[in-house]
Amino acid sequence: MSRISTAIIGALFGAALGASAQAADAVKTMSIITMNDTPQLLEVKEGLVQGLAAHGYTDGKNLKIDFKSAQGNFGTAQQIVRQFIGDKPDIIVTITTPTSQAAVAATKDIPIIFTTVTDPVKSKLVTQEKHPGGNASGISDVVPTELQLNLVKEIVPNLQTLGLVYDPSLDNARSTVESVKELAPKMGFKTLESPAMGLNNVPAAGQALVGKVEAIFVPNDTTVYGAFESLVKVAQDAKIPIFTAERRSVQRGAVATVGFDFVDMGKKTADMVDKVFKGTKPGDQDVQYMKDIPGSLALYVNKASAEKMGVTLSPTLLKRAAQVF
Amino acid sequence: MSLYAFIGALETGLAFALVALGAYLTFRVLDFPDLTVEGSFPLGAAVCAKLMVSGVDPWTATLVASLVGCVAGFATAFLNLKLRILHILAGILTAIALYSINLRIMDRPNIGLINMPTVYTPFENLGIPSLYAPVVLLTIIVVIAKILIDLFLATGFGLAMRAVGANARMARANGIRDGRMIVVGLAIANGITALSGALFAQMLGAADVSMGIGVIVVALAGVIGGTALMPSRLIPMLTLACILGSILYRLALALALSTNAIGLTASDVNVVTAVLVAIALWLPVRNAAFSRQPK
Amino acid sequence: MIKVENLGVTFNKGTMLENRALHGVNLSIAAGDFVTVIGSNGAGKSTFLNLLAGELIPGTGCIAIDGIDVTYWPVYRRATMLARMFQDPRAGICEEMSIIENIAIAAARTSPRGFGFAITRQVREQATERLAMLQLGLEKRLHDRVALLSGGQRQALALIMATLGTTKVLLLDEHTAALDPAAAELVLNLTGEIVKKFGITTVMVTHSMRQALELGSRTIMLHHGQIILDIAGEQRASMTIEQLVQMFRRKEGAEISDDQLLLA
Repeated sequence: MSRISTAIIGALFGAALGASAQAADAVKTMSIITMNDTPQLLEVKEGLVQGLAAHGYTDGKNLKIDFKSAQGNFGTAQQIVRQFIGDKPDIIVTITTPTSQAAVAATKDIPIIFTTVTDPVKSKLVTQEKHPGGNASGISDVVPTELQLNLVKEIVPNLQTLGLVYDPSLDNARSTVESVKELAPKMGFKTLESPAMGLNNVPAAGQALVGKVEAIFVPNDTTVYGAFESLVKVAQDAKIPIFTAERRSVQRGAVATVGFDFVDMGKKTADMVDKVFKGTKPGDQDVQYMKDIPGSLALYVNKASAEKMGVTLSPTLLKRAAQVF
Repeated sequence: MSLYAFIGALETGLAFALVALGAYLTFRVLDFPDLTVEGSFPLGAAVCAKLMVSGVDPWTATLVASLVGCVAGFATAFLNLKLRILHILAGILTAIALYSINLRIMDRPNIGLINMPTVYTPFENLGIPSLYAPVVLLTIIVVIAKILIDLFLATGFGLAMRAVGANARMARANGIRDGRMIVVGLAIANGITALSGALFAQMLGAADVSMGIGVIVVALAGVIGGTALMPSRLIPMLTLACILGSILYRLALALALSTNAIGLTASDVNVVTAVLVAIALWLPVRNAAFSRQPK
Repeated sequence: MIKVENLGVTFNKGTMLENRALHGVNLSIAAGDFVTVIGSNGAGKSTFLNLLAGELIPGTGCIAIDGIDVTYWPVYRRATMLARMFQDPRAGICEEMSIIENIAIAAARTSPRGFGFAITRQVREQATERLAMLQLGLEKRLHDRVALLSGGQRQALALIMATLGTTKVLLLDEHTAALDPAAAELVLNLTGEIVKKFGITTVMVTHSMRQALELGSRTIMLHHGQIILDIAGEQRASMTIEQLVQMFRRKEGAEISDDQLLLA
C-alpha cells in the first residue's frame, strides 16, 4: 500500500473514531432509580425530564434515560445500583433515601445527584452541606415546618391540639413530625400523633383523631398520600381541616399549604444534573434545600374543600394564594 | 449483563442464600411455614446498625444481631406451642411486632452506614477491590453455614428434627420432644436470617425498617427454584440447591432488569416469585396427608 | 410390668355428648405377658391404648409401668419404656426417609439422643441383624425410601423399630387390620416370634376374635368402657370363638351385633 493510501485510511479511521467519540459525548446517559413508583415520586421524575428538556436535553435524542423502580424491595435496589454502575452512565439520579444510600455506598466514581431525601447528612450521604466533596450531592425535601404551622394557626386560630397522621417507617415523614412536635409548644398548641402503618390504616388513623383535635397535619408521606382521598373524606365528615406540605395534595382536598411542588423539585434536580453535565462535579455543588430555593414555596389553598371542613378562608388569604383550587 | 450486574446478582444471591437456608430448615425440614423472617431480617440489620453507630466493631455487632434473631424465633415458637396459635399466624404476629420493635431499636426508620468500617473492610484492606469484597466474605460465610447445617442434620438431634417435620406423631412416639425441636429449629433459622440482614445492611450502606418486605418470597424462590432444578434426597445436595437457587434467582432478575426489551420489569418478577411461594406452600399439603397433626 | 388402677376417662364432660369411654378399669399385667384386647366398636379399646401410651390423660385412676407412675407422663417421656404400632402402615414410619434413617430414629428412643452422627456403624450393624429376622430382604435395602415398601413390609419394619433398645412394653393397635390376609399373617407371626425373643410385654388390640384367642396368653374383653371378661391359662386355651361369644352374652345379657367380631 502506498504511503498516501495509508495516510488517507488512517485519517478516515481517526475521523470515524473521533466522530463516534463525539457522538458518544453528545448523548448523555442518565440512570434513575427510585425505591417506589408512587405518584409523588413519579412527579419528581417527570419534573426531572421536563427540566432537562428545558436545558436542551431531549429524551431519546441527546439524552438516554434508564429509569428503574425497586418496587419497595431492597435486594432489588442493590442489584439495580450495581447494574447502573456497570452501565457507566454519565450520572445516576437517586430518588428517596434508601436508594441514595445504596448508590453512594457502591460507587465513588460515578456522579450521583440525590433527590427527595430529607436529611442528607444524617443519612450519611454527605459529610457536610456546603461543598460536600466526593461524588454525591442533591436536594432535600425537608419541609419548612415553621411556615406551615404559622399557616395552620392563621386559618385555625382556636387551635389547641394538632393531629399528625403519618407512616412512621418513612424517614422524611418522621423527621417532619419530630420538627412539628418541637415547634408546637413554642407556638402554643399540643400535638397528637396517629400513625398509619400502611395504606389500609390511613382512614382509621384519621378516625382516631376525631373529637380530639382542631386540625390535622400530614407531612410529605407517600403512604398517606396513597390513600389521601379517604382521609379527606374522614376529615370532611368530622369537620376537621387537613393541612399538608405540598401542592398536589391541596388539589386533592387539603385546605392549604405553604409548600412546594414535586414536579418543581424534579426541575430543580434537573438544574443540578445540568451543572454536572456541564462539568461541575456533585461534590462541588452545595446540598440544596427545596424550601430555601427562591420561588419554590408558594401558598396553595382549596376553597371548596375548606368549606366542607367547616373553615372559611379570609379574602386576604385568598388574594395571597398562588393558586386556589 | 455487565460484570457489575453479575457481581450484584452474586452478592445479593449469597446474602439471601442464608435466608434461603433458614427457610429450608423451617418450611422443608420442620414443615413449619415460618413468616417471622420478614421481621427478623430487618431486626438483624437494625441491631447491627444501631450497635455500629454506637461504636461497637462490626464483627461483634453482626454476631449480636444474629443472636437477637434467635430470640425472634423463640417468640414465634412460644406463640405456636404455648398459645396454640397456628404456625403461619404465629410467624406473622412476630413479624408485625418486630416492625415496631425495629423502629424502637433504631430510634428512626433508617440508619446510614456509609463510610464506616464494616465486616467487608478487612477484605478491602487486603487489596481485594471493594466490588468483590462482599462476595468473598459472603461466600465464606455461606459455605460455613451450609456445612454446619449439613452436619447438624446428620446428627441424632438433627435427624430427630427431620422426623418432627416428616411425622410428628411418630416422632413423639419415638421419644422426640417435638416442641423442643420446633424451638431450636426456629431459633437457628431466624438467627441465620438476622445474620443475613446484618450482612446485607453493611453491603447496602444502610439499615431500614422496611427492609424485610418481600424477603420470604425471595427466600422461597431460592428454595423452590433450587430444589426443582437439582432434585435430590441427600441433604447436602438440597442445601446446595437452596444456595444456587438463591443466586440463580438474582441472576434471572439481573437479566430481566438489564434487557427491558424482553418486557419483564421488576414488578413482573414479583408475580413470578409469588407463584413460586404458592407452590412452596402447596407441595407439602399434596404430599403428606397423614403426617399432618394438629400442633 | 403394667399396673392399672381405677382407670377412667370421660369425653365432653357435662355436655350432651358426654361419653364415659372408660371407667373403673383395674388390670395387672406381668412382665413378658402377651395380652389381647377385644371388644365391639366404642368399647374403649383404643381409648385404653391411648391412655397407656400417653396420648390421653385419664380423668381418674393411675397407670404404672415397671413400677413407675406414668399417669401424667406425655407420650415422648413414656417412649423410653414403651413402643407402639398403629393400624395405618404410614403412621409408624417416616415414609420420605430411608429404612436406616427410620431405624436410627427408633434406636435412639430408649437412649438419649446425642450430637454424634445418627447413622453409625453400630446402628447399621444392628439394623442389618434385626431386619434379617424378618426374612424380607429389607436388610439389603437400607437406603431405600420407606415409601417404596408395601404395607406389610412397612409394618414389619415398624415392628423392628418398636422392639429396639430397652423397650419393655409394646402396644399394638390393630396393627394388621389394614393389611391383606397374607401380609397380615406374616406380620402376626413375626410379632409373636419377636416379642417372645426379646421378652417384651405386649398388649394387642384386635378386632378379630380368632386372633385374640390364638395369640398371646391372656384375653380381655372390653364393653362400654369396662372389662367384662378376663381369661387366661387352661380356660382360655381350650376356648373356641362360639364359647367366647356365649360367655359374653351371659355376662352382658346383650347381643354382640358386631359381625366383624364374630366372623374374623
